[in-house]
Amino acid sequence: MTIPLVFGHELLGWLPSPIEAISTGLQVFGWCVVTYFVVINTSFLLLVGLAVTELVRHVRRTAFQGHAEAFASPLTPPVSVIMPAYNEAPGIVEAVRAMSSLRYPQYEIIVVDDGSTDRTFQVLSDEFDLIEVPRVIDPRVPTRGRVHSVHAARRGIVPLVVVRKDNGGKADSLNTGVNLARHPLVCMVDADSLLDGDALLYVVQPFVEDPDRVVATGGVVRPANGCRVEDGRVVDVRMPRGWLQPIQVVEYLRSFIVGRSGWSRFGSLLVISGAFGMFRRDVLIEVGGLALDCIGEDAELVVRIHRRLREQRRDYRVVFVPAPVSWTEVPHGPAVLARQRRRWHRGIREILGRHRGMILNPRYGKVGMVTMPWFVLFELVAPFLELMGLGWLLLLVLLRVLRVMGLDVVPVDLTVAWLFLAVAFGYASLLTLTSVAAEEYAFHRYQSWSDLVWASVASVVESFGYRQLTAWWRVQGTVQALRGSRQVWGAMPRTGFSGARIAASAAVAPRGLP
Amino acid sequence: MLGATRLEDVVPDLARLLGDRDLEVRRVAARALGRSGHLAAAEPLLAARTAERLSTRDTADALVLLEPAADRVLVEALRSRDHGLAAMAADVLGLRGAVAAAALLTGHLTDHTSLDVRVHAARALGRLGVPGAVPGLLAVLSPAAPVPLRAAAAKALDEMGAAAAIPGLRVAVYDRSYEVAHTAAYALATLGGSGRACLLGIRGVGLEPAASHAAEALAELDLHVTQTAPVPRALAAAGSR
Repeated sequence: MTIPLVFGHELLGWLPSPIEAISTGLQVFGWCVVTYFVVINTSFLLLVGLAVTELVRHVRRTAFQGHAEAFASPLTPPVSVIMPAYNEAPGIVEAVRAMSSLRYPQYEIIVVDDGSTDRTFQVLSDEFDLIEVPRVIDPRVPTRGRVHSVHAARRGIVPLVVVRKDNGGKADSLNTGVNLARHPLVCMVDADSLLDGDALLYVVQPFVEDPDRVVATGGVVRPANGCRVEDGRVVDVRMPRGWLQPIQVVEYLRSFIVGRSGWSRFGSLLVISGAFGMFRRDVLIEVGGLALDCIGEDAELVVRIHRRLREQRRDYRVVFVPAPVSWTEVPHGPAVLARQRRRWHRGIREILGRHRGMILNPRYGKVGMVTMPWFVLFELVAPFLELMGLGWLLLLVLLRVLRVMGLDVVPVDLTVAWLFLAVAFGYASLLTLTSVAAEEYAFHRYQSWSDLVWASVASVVESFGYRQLTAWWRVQGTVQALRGSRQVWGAMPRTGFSGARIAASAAVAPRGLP
Repeated sequence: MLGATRLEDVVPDLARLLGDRDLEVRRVAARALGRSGHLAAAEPLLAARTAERLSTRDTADALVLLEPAADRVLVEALRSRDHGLAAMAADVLGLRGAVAAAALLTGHLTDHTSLDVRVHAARALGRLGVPGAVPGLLAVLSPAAPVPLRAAAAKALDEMGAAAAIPGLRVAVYDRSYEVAHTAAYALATLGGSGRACLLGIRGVGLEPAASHAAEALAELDLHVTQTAPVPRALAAAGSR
């Protein structure tokens, strides 16, 4: 009996020699990695297809959206906007002012000061003439930090409530806000974010069109780095310069424009960013609000909503709206970025671990059978395989170099290595470029060709160094989670949005999953 | 644009567009029919809603704009076995100020089999502000009624500002549901001196959480009484000059 040729290497006998075994092993591993990357990128290509369908639909609808009618209609549901704030003194007044000037018929703003140690409360009090009011807080959503006082604004057009409480984290602050909210829809936004003027009208639209089924909607979060801000509005969308920030911009575009739109179109959106998400208050109360002990609390909440409503066999929808944008600053330096990525990956691991019973469970429909397994295979495992693939490639190159030098330790065939490069780098870059093109087609935010060129360059450059670096941080995040290390936030100063153009030097606190 | 002309001739053409296979076309047609304001638009709009070719919201937004004679068609819709349609009709009648529908709405409030219809009827009665609806609303404010209905009734009484509701609202402030108690306290706060006295009494008794709800409503009332309307900066600057 002969064993067939394996990737061009003849078998020397019944059993291969150790060198042959290593060579074959390297080739087999290479093919496995290539196959993995083909599958991951092809799955993303399918998402691109779904996202493009959604975006085309969105572009067609924009002209007929009827926001003026929605604004004037007495049937447009009122909204409670919740802004958790921790040490946000430099930008909180600007953020609240910007939030107060949104185009929406009826809404209130609830700022939850989560035990800030800076002047967050004082600057708010000075600006909006706050007065302490007795408020009975709905106890239905569990919270951790004790509420010290509730204050109402005597100045301003939109009702503003400021809550002072013990530090308990972002999830705890949001839960406190949900308990205080007076309206049926609750919008969660970051205090260091700026919303587009019509953002609430856009993100409420699915609730208005399908009030019985829509339970949550999310909008796009985009980096404001490089953009010009005036009076709390992003007025000139530009690409930041440098290398770290432009890559994050295209990363966000890929994640939101393609990822979220695609999953939403597929009907199993798993993540709504805590930086900009709208929920039905009664559903939040029903599921117990955000988990106080989970790192990726925003994504965990959506997974829990899916779980609960699927278990109750309810007909519901979680929808992503690609148009409204929440602008935020993304990390400027590698240290903050590394913390952010470790945290995000820990969050994914925690969520998938906590809800592992849903994975491949037909009871949970598309969420259990497709989306969650996809997240396990292509989000959780991806950084490990990416780094292993990189290690394998380097080993192959090393062996080739040795062969050129006359030391033929292990014979290698570089065909699969080239394939790996094409699939893992070329295919991935192409997908990111498609995201940029899709965004440009649907929204045309960039006014300058140089910005588009810069975005295209960033889409390609991302694969060379940045992705491997983030893969390494994500692996570290998983290891930290397995070792049970405590999540460290560290001190992160902010610049706020009052500057003419978002500065390119300050470090900004990482937020929830993008 | 066709709708804005308010010509009756355009209604059949627009109504035909409600059958278009494209949702956007149907939505725009509904909006235009609403703007036309003609009674003839009511039937096709309701039919499109029943056939699920239009969302409840789009239909309601259009129906609100129609001429007063459309109330008759909406009252028929309120009698529909389609609970979604009946609930929407209740909402629209309330928004249109269709006082003539108050008796039917009150009947639905207390007797309808669908909780959704009852809740929408309560909201509509609140908007209509008809004093005759107060006994019905007070009846569903009792603990025997489901919480969403009790909360909607308290809210409706708040909007109506009916002094006859004070005894019922006083009891509702002690409701076990946060939402009902909270809304009832705020409703009392809108009822002038008698409501205020009632809240002071509840606060004085000190039974929690009703006393806190009362205290909150009183504080909110004081806040609004003392609050001055914001003066635009330009005007303020002009005044100071």
